[in-house]
Amino acid sequence: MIPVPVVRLALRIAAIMVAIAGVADPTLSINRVPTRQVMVVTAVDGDASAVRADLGVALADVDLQDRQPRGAALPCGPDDTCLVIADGSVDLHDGAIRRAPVFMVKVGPAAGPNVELSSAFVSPRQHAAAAGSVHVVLSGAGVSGRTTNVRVLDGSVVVGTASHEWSADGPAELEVTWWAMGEGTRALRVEAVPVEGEIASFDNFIEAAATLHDAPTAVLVFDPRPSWSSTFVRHALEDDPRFAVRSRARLGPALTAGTPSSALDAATLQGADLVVVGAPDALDAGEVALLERYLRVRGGTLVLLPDRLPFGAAARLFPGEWTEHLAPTAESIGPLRASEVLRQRTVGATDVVLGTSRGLPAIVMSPAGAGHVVVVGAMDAWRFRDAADRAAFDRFWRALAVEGGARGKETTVDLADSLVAAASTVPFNVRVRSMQGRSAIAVRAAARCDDGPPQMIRLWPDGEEGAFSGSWPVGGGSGCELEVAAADGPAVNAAVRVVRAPARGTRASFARLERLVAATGGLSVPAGSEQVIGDAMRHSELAAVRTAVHPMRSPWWILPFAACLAGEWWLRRRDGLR
Amino acid sequence: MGASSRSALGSPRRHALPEVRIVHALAAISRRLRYRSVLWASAAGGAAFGTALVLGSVFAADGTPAAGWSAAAGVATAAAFVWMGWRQSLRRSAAAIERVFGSMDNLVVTAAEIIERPYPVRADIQREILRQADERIDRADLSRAAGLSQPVAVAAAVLIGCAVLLLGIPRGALPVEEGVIPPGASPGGIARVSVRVSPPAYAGQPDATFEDPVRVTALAGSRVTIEVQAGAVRVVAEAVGSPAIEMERQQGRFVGAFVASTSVGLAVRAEGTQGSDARFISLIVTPDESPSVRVLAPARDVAISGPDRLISLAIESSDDLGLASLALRYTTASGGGEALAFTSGEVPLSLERVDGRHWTATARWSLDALQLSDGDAVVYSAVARDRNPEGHAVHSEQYVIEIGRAAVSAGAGFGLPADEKTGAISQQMVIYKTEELLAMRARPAPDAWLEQTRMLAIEQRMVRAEVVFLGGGEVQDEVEEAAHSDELAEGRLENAGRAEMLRAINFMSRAEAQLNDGRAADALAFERQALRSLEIAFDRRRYFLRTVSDRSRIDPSRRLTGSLQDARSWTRAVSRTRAPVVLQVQREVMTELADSIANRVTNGAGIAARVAGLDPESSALQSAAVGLATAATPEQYRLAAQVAMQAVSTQAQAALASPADVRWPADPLTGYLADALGQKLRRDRQ
Repeated sequence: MIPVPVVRLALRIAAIMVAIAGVADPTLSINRVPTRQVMVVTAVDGDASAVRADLGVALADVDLQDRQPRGAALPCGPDDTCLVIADGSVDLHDGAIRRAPVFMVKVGPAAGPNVELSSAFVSPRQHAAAAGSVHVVLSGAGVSGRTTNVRVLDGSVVVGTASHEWSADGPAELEVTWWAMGEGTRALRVEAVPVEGEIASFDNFIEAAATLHDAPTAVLVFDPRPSWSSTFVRHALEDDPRFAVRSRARLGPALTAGTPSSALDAATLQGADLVVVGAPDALDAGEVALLERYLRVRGGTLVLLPDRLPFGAAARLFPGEWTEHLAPTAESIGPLRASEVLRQRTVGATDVVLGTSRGLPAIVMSPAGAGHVVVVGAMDAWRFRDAADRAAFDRFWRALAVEGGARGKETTVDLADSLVAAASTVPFNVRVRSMQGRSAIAVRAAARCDDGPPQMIRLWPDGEEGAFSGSWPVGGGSGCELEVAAADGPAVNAAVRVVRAPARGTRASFARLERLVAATGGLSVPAGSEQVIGDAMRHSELAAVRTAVHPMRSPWWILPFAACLAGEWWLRRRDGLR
Repeated sequence: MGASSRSALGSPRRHALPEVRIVHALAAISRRLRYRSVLWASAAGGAAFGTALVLGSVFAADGTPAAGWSAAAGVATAAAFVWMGWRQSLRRSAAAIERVFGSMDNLVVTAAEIIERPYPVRADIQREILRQADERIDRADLSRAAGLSQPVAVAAAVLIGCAVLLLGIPRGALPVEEGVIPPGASPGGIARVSVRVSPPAYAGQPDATFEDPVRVTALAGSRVTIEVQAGAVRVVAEAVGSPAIEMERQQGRFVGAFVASTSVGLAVRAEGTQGSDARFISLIVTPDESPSVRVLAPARDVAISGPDRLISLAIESSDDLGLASLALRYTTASGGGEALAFTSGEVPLSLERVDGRHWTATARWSLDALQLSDGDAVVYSAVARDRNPEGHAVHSEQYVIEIGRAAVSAGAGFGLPADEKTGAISQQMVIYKTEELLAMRARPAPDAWLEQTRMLAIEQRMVRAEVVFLGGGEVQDEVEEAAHSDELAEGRLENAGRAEMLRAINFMSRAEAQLNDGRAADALAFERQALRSLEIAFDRRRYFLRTVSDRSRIDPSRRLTGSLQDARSWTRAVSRTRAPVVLQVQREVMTELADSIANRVTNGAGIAARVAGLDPESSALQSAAVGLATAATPEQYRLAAQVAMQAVSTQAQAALASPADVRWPADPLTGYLADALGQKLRRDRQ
């Protein structure tokens, strides 16, 4: 039995100790494993409560905090573990450098008929004098026997339509021709009109932008000897306002005829986007060397129109081995018809075959150095240009010249996107190519949004000579333009249309999130497999964190302090003390 | 006085009554009551007129209120009221007095009854009642018993309202200058559009009148008269790309006329003082078609060798409107070489007019009158002309009659060269005859068979000779030359057309050899190969062109006459097909269509005219315009506008250059990869 005075003294000492400790406020350092906290972002067009409930079960030991996306930005901090429930309806962007993983639960469409607009490619630059074309990829499920109408809208105006009748489920491709409702950069909306009973409509549209321009493609047609083939190709191009054609034909050893400033020299080739050579076997060694430099160093597009098997100096301009075949009747080679055909024996790994003759390539595009060479083996196609489709000959050559000319520009600017969200950054690449190798190239880039002041943008050299990259911070406004100019070359423009949140389609949205997941070491699973994410989180142990603890800062200390004082007081009163 | 009073009461009583003031008082009240009833009748009639006018304008099918019927309703109502209120009696007057003055204690009514219908009451009581009634009447202001101020005010108000209704509303719709507002026309609105199409006189068609049309079809050259009934100041008919037609006011209508030459979309606009209205009319102009004429018999080239030179001819011709003439004309070619003579003439025909649009003709043509000799030829064709004075004569296919014995075999084998495919056609005839011969092979005797095949061989040789002639007649040994045509083809087919002709000649020679030996089946295979080669050869006419970029012409007379400063390289005149000016108009129309959908527009006359005006000859645009103009609901208009947008888009895209459909991947490093792969390949080979 402890005597009462001892107890009373002990209580008094305890109270004094608590008071002293409270004043001293001691600090302790301990290693602690924190509770895992995950931000759950629901980016789903419909109801995602079932998926969210499954997540709650699978991640029962995790602190889940719900976030809703606002606009296109991912609503998670750089250090937050982020879990996105996505069905592709929201195109989330993330420009932050993340130190925590991002997970994704992919919600697929419900069972039922559905058409998804998988992709819609719109050329970012469109000549004002031509109609545009949108390459559309659809994916259908449960819509066999039905027809999907695809529309292209410029604002509220339908500027292009096409339809696809589904014979079976799966992907389908179609081209939709469109025309612009005005000048400048046009924001286009490509939409697949939902079929009756379609379960989801958020995956039926994609937005894109195209900038109209009226700059012609500079084409040089050179004939080392008169050639019917190049003559008719030239005629096809001359009648089209998209091309500025210069030509030169050598009529004799010291006699040439053609348009002004069309001599085959370095200065002319420097400004030519596309060079068409007829009868290339008549080229001399100097001309071949010049053209080869144009092709490999200048990065131009060279189109060869042989009318016999290549030989001599010009043979080295032809990629691969070619054989000549003569037929009594004309055959179809791509969109052309010809009876005298050059066929390539083997297709190169990087070649693109544009037309075949009896299974062998006859019209081939081959990349070479910085440029491209196109060999058209349909040697007498000009004879059959009026055969079946009178416009097919002209249409093929104009299309080839448009594509080749775009690749062979002296200075090019490639934007990652033409339709961007406000306050986003657009990466871009600049290529400045010259007939002469240069040790230093001066290039400047300036951007302007609406009527705002121009803003200089820093360019960084890439590994390739004459190649630069930059990041273009796009502010507000509705449209921004980027102008890039080399010191001794022409200035080129590129433009973007600024919107609040561009809809790029479910595929693009998923792809963007997948890249983010992969880059941050996260995991992407379909809906129903949420447990996989839970397991992954459990297996990835969180590192213990050294934490400073202040034990006396707890308000609960008031209870033992008061209890000690009260006990000591009660014992004294019981013993008759004051 | 008493008698007149009673007479005025309408029911005179022939008994002695005291001459009391009450009788005069009651008569005066009766008169006032009649005045009141007339006033109330006027008010009721006016109210009925106004009500009928308003209801008529609301429920009338064309929005035209029937003013006449409204007036009739008003008059009938007023008459009924007057009829009901005209018969007044002393008792009614007394009752009116008692009703107004409550202090009469029924004395006035009793007195009136005593006066009007005497009861068996003692005279003193009667006198006393009349006396007391007189006393009460004296004290009363009787003008209050049948006041006129209220009915006068009401009647005046109603009549003024009617006047306002009748005159006030239409006044705004009436033309400012003159005229009568058409029934149902709102201010500035079009009540009716009438289009009268008067075809040209030669068509022989009656005028056609269309009421409120959207699409009108007219023959080219028709006179189109548009009559518009509208409550408007000015009416114009506008067409995109054409000057507006200002319509003249004639007797309350607006009339405009023009001669239809091309299809056009018209927007008929009425402009009034309080608004405007528009109607759309798509005028489709159909041109007068040329007549068709055909020789039914003999319908082939004929060779005549015998003395019977009579040819039976049958011709038919038709026209969409009516034929004016049908004739058979011929030209003879007599003689030969440099002495060839031509003579023209016409063969008398026996015409049968099935109707104005279909004629047939027959003739038995004796060639003896033409005095033709052996080797002469006659070329004839039928000529038809329709009633259109600006039309052209139409000729049938020409046929040839060859005269003489020598023509028989030639005529059976092949015709005269009409075009470059004659050789092929003739060869086809040889094939046909060979097939016919093979089909009958079982029947003829061997000798007859050989003879027939040799006759065919002769025809085959003639055709071959024709082909050789076409080729320049330079083939010395065609079999040898054709046999080596493969070598020619391998030599880059520099003259592939010539090679094919040589090949055809070769096959013909082989076919002829087979036919001479009686092997028709074997010959048939060669004949067909020859035909195929001929077709290829004639499809390759360009092979004979020489590969030069430009044909130079040298004019010696101009040598050393020009200025060196003007010397420059030749350049081809390039026809720049720049984006058409109409592109901007098309864009505006598209924007208007989209806006009209958003604004739920239903009257699309103006935009319909603009759509139609983009290309009046385009049936798609015309149909789209009609759809816009006839849409009755916003939903119908939306669908019509979408169709119109698609039609405009199709037209705009057709005017633009085609989109590029050649694409290859854009990767700047693939070229270097290709170079590296090529170098490795070359190293491996070495």
